[in-house]
Amino acid sequence: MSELSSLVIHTKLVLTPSALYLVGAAKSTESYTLHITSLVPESGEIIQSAMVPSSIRDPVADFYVLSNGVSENNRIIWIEQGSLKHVGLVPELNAKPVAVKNAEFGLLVDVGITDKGHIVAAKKDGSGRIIKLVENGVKSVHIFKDDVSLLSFSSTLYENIPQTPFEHQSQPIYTGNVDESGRVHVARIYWAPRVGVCLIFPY
Amino acid sequence: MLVWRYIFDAEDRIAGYYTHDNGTNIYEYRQYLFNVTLIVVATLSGPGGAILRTFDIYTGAQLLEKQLHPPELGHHAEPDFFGKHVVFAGDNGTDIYVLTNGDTFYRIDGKTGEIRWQFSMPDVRYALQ
Repeated sequence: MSELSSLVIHTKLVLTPSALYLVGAAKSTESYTLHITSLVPESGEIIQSAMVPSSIRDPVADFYVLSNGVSENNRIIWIEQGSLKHVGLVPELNAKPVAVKNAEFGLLVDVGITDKGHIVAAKKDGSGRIIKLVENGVKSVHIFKDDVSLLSFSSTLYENIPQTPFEHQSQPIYTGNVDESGRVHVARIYWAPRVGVCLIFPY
Repeated sequence: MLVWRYIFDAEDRIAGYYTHDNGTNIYEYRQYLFNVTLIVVATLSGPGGAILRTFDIYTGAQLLEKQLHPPELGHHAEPDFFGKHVVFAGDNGTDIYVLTNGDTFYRIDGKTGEIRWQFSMPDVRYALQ
């Protein structure tokens, strides 16, 4: 048994009542591996340090931490070769990663409310889902339909409009916020060239 | 309407600003003679997040400025926010936890700027089995 060392870039601190977590990505040959350290907030003493079995392409955009205030329910969520995975943060760092079944995702979109337990996961076809942190996992709470159905709907309504070189809608933009009552809002906005309008779909 | 602003120097560009989570938005900042309850926003700026500042979110008054490392020891990051973070202690105090340079961690007294502990973890060692 030999020992190896790997550079690790930390990107997130997560404070819970029982531990402070340092979340980062350790450089492997062709990708990054999630790395977590739990420590005692008062003293800085390390409780545990562990690699999470994972393969991450981009340490800037491919993993986030979902939290909901200072609580024990916090999860790292990441994209790994089209699949959406997540793992709970516990001081012993022995939780097993879970994959969301039957869905392929292209990217995670941080709409500024990961600390309110929400993030958007977008598929390659342009559709998107709002992913919410729940007890013991994550849940898809809303689906923004794919653009293809909207495009065909538009073309029957506006069939007299000549086709433009822009056959497809532009990339959607997602935005999110929390109102005074604490309710989460997420909207998808995109420009529909065939119809010539900007479409906004709020949740 | 512009309420307040703080302009960072060209060599001390802002890398990120950090607010509290919901429910713990209140930050006790004890001044010399009386207790006031403040909501603060923290910033990290300069190479690697060299300087920590906190501001009163309503007035923009600067409450704390603390240099964590000399600018020349800061690692360049793309995008600027990468490898930096600040979280607040929440209900049980005014301390602030800070990550700079992607590898250095601090617990800092939010009132005085005193560093309670710090350490660096630039790499990790693991056993190959």
